[in-house]
Amino acid sequence: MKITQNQVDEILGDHGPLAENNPNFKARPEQQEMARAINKAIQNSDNLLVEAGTGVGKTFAYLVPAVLSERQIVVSTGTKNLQDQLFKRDLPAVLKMLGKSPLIAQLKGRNNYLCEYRLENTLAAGRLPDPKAVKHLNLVNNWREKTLTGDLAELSPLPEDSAVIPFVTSTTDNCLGQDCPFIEKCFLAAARERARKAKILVVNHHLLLADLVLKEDGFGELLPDTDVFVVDEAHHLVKTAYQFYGDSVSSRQITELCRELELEYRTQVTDCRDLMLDAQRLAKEVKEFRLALPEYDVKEDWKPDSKLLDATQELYHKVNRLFDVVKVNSNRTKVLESCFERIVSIKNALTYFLGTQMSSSGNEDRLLGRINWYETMKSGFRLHSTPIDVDNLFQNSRSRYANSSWIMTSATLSVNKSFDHYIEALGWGDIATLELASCFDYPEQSLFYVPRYLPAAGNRNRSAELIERLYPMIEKAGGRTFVLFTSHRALKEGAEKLKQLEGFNLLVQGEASKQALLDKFLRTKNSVLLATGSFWEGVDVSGDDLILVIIDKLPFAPPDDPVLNAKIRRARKNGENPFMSLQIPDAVLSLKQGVGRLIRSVKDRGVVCVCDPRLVTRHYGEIFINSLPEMRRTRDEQLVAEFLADIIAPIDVSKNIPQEEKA
Amino acid sequence: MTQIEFYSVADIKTEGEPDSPLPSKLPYNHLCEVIKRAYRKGQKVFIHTDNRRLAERIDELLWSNDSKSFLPHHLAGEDTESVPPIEIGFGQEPSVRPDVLVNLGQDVPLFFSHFQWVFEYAYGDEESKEKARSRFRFYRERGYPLNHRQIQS
Repeated sequence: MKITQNQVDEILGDHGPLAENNPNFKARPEQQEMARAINKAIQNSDNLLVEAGTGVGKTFAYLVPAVLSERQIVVSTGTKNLQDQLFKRDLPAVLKMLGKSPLIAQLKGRNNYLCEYRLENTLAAGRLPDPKAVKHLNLVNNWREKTLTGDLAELSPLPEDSAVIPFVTSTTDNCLGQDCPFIEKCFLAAARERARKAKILVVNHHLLLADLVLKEDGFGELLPDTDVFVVDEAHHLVKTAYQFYGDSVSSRQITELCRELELEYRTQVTDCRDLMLDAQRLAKEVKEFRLALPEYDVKEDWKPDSKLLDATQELYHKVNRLFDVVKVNSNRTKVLESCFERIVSIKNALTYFLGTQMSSSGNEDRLLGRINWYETMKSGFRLHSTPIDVDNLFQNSRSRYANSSWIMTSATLSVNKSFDHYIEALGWGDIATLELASCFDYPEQSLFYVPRYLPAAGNRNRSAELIERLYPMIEKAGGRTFVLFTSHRALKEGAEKLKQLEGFNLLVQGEASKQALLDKFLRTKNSVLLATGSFWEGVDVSGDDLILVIIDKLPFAPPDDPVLNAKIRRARKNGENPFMSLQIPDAVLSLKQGVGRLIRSVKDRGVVCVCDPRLVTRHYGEIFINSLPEMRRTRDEQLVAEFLADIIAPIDVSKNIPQEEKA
Repeated sequence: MTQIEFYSVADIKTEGEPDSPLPSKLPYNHLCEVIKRAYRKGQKVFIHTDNRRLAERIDELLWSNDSKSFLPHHLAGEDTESVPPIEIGFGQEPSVRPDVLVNLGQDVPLFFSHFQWVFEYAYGDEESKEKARSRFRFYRERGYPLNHRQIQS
C-alpha cells in the first residue's frame, strides 16, 4: 500500500492513535524522522541503516511504516528478549492501534522448542547430569500436554540455562526430520508452518542467516517471499555472521555421537560389533587429543607442532574408521542415518586442521581467507575454522532477497559519526544512512565522570583497588549502582572486595539468572549489581533505581581473540593501523552500549563513571567522546558527589515524610 | 632563546564603584585558547602550578571543554605508559618535550629555559601581581625576548 510521509507523521504525532492510547505519549521529531525515512525506503524498496539513540522509540518507528505497507515483512532481533517483547507486546500494540490484523508469527531456534522424540527417549533411558535436571524433566513432562507452541520460554519455572534443555530439544544433528515418529506433533514443524504463512514474521539473526543460506535440514525454505527485512539490534548481526559462516567441531559433539552409536549397537544393530568398538576407540582418542592441547583454558591460533599434528591425524583416522562403519550401515535405522550425516560434517570440519601442515603460510589458508584456531575447556576442546571476513559471504547469502528492502537499525552502529565500520563489516557498499541522537537531554540528565589518579591498568589487584576507591561514591548513590567489568576475572576480584567491605545488597552475575538478578536489583534497596558481558546490553532499568553506572576499563577486545588477531595482522600487512581501524571502533560500540544503561527515560538522571584515564590522556579519547551522547564531562569527585546528592535528596524526602505531611 | 609572552589581566570594574575594581581572575578562556593553539600546531604543552587544587581545576577545564576541541592531557604521573601532549604539573618536572610552558606558579620554575615559549599571566590580588612583576623583571634582566599585552579577564 502506498503510504505518504504525512500519514506516518500523524500516526506518531501528538494527536495520533499512539497519543490517544497512551496519555504519557509525546511526539518525538526523531521518531517521526526515523519512521519517515523507513517508510520511504520500504516504498522504494531501498536499503537503509539507522542509528537511533536511546529514547527515540525505534521499535514503533519501524513497525508503523512496516505494518502500514501491508507487505511481506520479516523482523529479526539479536536477542530472545527483544524477540519476545516484539511479538508479545509491541507488534500487537501497533496492530491494534492501526486497526490491522495480518497473520503474525514468531519463530525461534530449534533448541527453544520441546522435541517429543527427545523427551520420550530421555524419559525412557535418559542419564541426566544432576538431580536438578531430573526435577526440570518432570516440569517439562507435566507441561507437554498443556502447551500449544512447545516454546520452553512459556514454562517460566524452567531456568534458561537448565541442564535438561539439551535432553528435551533437538539439534540439527539428532533431528530425524520427516522420518520422526512424532512428526505429526512436532512443535518446531508447526512453528515453521505458521512462519511460512505469516504476513509479519519475527525471527532472530541466527534463523535469518540460516534461512538465507538454506542451511537448515529437512524443512526447506522458511522465509516466504519477503519484501521487507527489518533487522533490529543490527550490531549483533556481524557477530552472528561470524558464528554462522564458521565451522567448528567440539569434543562434546564427537563424544555424544560415539555414545549414541554405542547405544544404537546395544539396542538395535546388535550384530554390528565394529560400530561399538570403533565408537569406543574414537571416544578414547578424543581424550588423548585433549591431552595434546594445553592444560588450561586458552584460545589460540592453530599452529600445531608435530606432536599435535600426529594427534590430529590419529583423531582423523579414528573418525574415518567409524565413518566407514556407519556408512555401510546408515540405511539400517533412522538413528544411524542421522549419525552418518553428523560424522560427515565432523570429518569435513577436521580436514581444515589437517590441511594446515601443507600450507606454507602457517595457520592461515589465504586462498580460503579463513583462520583456524582452537579453544580448550577443562575437559574438552573445540576446533574452529572462521572466515576472516564475512562481508561477501553475507551479501551472497542475501542475494536471493537483493530486491527486498533491508532496514538495519540499532542504538550502536556509528563510530565518530560514521557508519563505515559497520558498512564494511557486512559489505553494504553504497547504502543510505541516518543517525538520530537520543531524545534525552544528556547534558542535563547525566555526568560523565573519569576519576583522577586511578590505579594503573597493569596493576594486579586493580579491580579491588578500584572498588575500594569508588566505595564512597557508591555509598553516596545509596547503592542503585551497576558495576560493569570488561572481564570475568576482574568481576570476580571486584565482587570479592565489595563483599569484604560490606554495606550493600550485593548482586553478582552468575549467582542467579540475568532476569532474577535484575528483579532482585529492583526489589531490594541499596543494591549494587556487578556484571560483565551480556549485562552491557539490553538491560533496561529506568528511574531512581539506577543512578550510577561504573565501567572498569575501556572495553577493548581481549588480546586472545584469534579472529581479531588475524584481522590485525592483515591490516598491518596492508599498511593500515589496526588499532584505529579495528580495535577502537569495536571498543567504541561496546562503550556506547554500556553507557546506554544509565538513562532510560526523560526523567532519569545519573552518573557514568569510566575508570580509564586513557579517555582523557590519549588522542583517541576524542573518538569515544564524539561517539557517546553529549554528557556533561567532569573529573571532579566533589561535583559528582553533589550531583548524586541532588538526585537522592527528593527520593529520600519522599520516603521519610509521613503521608499526611506530604499532602 | 626562550620567548616570553606576558599577559596582564585587567581588574574587573564594578558598576557602582568604578574606582575600586575587583582583583582579576585567571583568564580561563584565554588559557584554553593558548593551549588549544599549541596543541593544534603539534606542540607539547606543560602547565606548571604550585598546588594540586589549581592543577585539578585546569584538568577539569580541559576535560569539560566543548567536544569540538578535545585536548588530550593528564595530571603529572597519571598516564605512565605514554605521556599525553599536554601535561599539568603541581611541582613536578615536565616529562613532555619542551615546546610551550604555561607558568601559573608564583615563581619562575628552574626548567623554564628548556622551553621555546613561556606564557605568563599577571592577575589576582596585589600580592600575586607583585609576584608577577618580579617574574617579569627576572626575564627582562636576563635579556629574554618579551612580549607584554593587556587582556580582559
